[in-house]
Amino acid sequence: MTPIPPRIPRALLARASEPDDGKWLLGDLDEEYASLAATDLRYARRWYWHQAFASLLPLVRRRFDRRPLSTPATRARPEMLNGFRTELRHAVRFALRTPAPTAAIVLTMALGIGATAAVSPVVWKLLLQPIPVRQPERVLAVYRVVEGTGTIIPSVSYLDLQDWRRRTRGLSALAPYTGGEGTLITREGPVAVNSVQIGEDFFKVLGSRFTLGRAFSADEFVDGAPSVAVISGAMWQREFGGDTTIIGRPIELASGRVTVVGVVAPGEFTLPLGSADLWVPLHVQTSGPNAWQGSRGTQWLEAVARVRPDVEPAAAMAELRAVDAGVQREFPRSSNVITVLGVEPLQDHIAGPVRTTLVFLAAAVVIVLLVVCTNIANLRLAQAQARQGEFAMRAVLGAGFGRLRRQILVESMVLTIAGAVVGVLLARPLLRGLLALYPGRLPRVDEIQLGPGLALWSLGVAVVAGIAFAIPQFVHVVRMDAGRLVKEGERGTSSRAQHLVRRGMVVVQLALSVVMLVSSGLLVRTFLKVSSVPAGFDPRGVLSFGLSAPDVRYPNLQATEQLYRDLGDRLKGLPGVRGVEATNALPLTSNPWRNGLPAPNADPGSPDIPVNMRLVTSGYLQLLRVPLVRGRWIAESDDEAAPGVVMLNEALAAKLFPGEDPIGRVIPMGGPNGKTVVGIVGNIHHGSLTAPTDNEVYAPFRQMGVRRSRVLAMRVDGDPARFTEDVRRVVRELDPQLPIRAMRSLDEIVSVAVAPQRFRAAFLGSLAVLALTLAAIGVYGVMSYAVSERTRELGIRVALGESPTRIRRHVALEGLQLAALGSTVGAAGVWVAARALRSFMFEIGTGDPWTLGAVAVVLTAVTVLASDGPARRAGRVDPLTAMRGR
Amino acid sequence: MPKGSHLAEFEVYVMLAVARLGDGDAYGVTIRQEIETRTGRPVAIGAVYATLGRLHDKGFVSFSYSDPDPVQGGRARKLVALSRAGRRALEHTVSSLARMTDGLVLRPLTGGKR
Repeated sequence: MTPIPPRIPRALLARASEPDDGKWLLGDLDEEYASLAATDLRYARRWYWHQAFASLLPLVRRRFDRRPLSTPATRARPEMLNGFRTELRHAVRFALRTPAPTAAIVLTMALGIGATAAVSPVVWKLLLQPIPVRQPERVLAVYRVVEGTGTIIPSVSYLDLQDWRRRTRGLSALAPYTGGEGTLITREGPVAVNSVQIGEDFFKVLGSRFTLGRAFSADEFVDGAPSVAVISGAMWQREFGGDTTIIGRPIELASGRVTVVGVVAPGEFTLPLGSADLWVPLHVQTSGPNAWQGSRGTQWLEAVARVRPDVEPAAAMAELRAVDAGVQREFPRSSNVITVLGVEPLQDHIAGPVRTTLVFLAAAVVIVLLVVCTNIANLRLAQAQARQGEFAMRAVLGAGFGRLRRQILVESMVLTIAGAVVGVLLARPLLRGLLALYPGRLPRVDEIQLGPGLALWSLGVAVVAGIAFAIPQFVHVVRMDAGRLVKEGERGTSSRAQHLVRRGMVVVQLALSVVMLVSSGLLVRTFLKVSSVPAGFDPRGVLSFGLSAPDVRYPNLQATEQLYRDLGDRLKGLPGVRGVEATNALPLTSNPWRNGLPAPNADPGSPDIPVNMRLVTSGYLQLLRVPLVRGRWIAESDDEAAPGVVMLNEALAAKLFPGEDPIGRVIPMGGPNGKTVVGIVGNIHHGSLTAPTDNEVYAPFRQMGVRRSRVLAMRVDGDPARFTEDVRRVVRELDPQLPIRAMRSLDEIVSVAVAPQRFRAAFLGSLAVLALTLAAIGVYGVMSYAVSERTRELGIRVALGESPTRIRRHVALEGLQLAALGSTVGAAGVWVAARALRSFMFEIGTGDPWTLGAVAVVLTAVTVLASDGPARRAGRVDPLTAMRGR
Repeated sequence: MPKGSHLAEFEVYVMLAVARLGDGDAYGVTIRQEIETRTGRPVAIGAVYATLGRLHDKGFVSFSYSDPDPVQGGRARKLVALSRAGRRALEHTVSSLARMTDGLVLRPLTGGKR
């Protein structure tokens, strides 16, 4: 029995070889196959496949070479280059002759490349590229996690850290650091700098390289040692012009004079990310006013560690967790929230908070890229069909098929490369826009750059795309029957299959657009919801800024109070200023001071109610127009001599004193006598607009010790921005060495608070509009082609008395069919996308009826608009012209 | 040598294989095997057919069709023979090659990768 050769390669070969040659070739192949199969069937089959694939290229090449009907069989190679130049010229000329499709393809390509080129370095830098330190997988971040809620507390306590250091074996270095505000005194005036206190092994953990000098030595951490500092490469260049004699020289900080012992190499990875200007040795105070630093319950230090080279990072992390569990058992915490140790590679710790957003960005761009690709393929296919006549004519006139093929390729490349060049040029503004739109700062953003590598990569993509998008035209040219086409009058008809492919692509585009539209719709709705959350205070017309009085010049309560009182008086003297008050932290900004209060009637040992401490001046809450619910406001008379008082927000009052009158009750904080509750105020969204309101305690500054750092809030008439210069002048007059931090209006702060939602809505929204526009172009293209191809049929129908309106409606309905099909296919994608987006959504369901309704309306409207032009043309078909065949 | 009578390497192999096999025995299978066994490099049947087609265009080979083999499952074959012009071109190429290599001792390559 003769074994049957593999069917697929056989069919391939049959298609590839010349029609009158195919049966001989296959016969020969079968003959050999049969004799091979008699001994080893598996080998024979492999051999057959191999033969088939190796045969494809020569056979196809031969077929192209055969096509020229009247040209010499061979062409001299040296003409290649000349030919290429001609083709390039042809391609450019053709591209310019048909500006509309050219512009559409180039722009589409540019947007695709530009969007990818802008987003991919961000994703690469943050999610994929290791942080630039030696053996990054061995650098760990150590922090605490609230048990139950999973909330990350980024810091640890000093005593815990000391115990870990003593009891672990797997770490070669473990170091705390804590960022602090500092002031550098320069000849031009005070400059706010970020001065970071670090533990001994800090630079050992990061393995930082130094341009000049050295890291701190052990004796510089001893109390009473001379003050020294290491400065960042950036600050060295910015403030000291890269002066190489800086080592050993003193620099003036507001807190005193320090000697520079080292300069970290510029561009070196440092902590806190991208914001450290100088580092000083950490001196933990275990007595005196700052004794809290040495308390086990105070978590105030961030920590990083390096795993020993001979230990697996996972093992070191497990060891640290076990050691911490032991420490926690040995030294039970007196109060507060229960936390467990968190430890993970620093890389993950940095990317963690932005990972979901980045994955979201990348996914959105990939979808747009898909739409872009289908769109270009569609446009090229349309061009191929439109130019069948031209190619056929040239083939008949003797243009070799190799030549036609080259021309198609060159044309395709010219378009995609032009698109890529525009795209690369677009990438930088797009990236800048993305980062500007991005709420807050992306970590490691300074390291992001669009280098020549990216440009090269984009060019590579363009070349691949050029080849890919030439394929539909190749297929056309190979299949076309030149003689018949020329006879038929320079325009071909497309096969049913081609038609289906083009429609299929449009349906895919519409489906992807539906996914994008629904997703962005959900995010826009979320943004609107979050924006309409009542913040609980009136942010309009309030200017805020931070000040910190250095302790050298404001050593006690009197001096500090005097400074802020004088400042308040002077600012109130400015025309248009209604009031000046202060707090330690404004709503919707950082939330620095947490505390705990025992719950009423709770068992001993049960967790405390977490509360936020807010220090305020007496008129602060009135200035923010927070409503007074019960009792009285904090008054000017509640000073250091008077009994301690606090106000609570409604949320906390309900928890501490459920069903009782809280006024006059005493809460256990700030000394043995506690504090008396004198008033209840309305809830403010202090943490974020989307979270439930926190528990707040408001206490007067003057009863809470020396508080040198304050945030001032000024209620003014008109635009707060008008007052910034006056504020700077007043502060300068009062104390020229006092730097002003973060001057901005409360409105700005509120708008920053909704920035994540706005960012996601705007980003996805603009991509959705882009996708829909491309899909609309696709619909238009397919419909107008369908109409022009059916001109004869439509003409007959008009001649038979069908009304133009009916024909128009008929064509428009076809467009809507595409839309309906697209939505159906897109529904599955919507289901997936909406679930993926759930963590970004706020107070709406994944099947939000408003969003779905709006998308349905938009999609219908766009499809109707896109197919209206072709539909009108269909209605205007002149039966006589149509039937004459032109 | 006029343009169009130039022979590419693989064309030479195919024509030499046809010459070796002789009239009546040269067809796809035998030509393919002849080149594969003698040169030691894998040869695709498609390449043989494409080259034969090209040689035919140049008028260097002619085709004839055999009667089916008188065995069960026997089939007809497309036989190849060199034309007069083909013989001349092959002769020319081979003798040129011979003249070029006459007296030449090719030293073995050194330092190349194995």
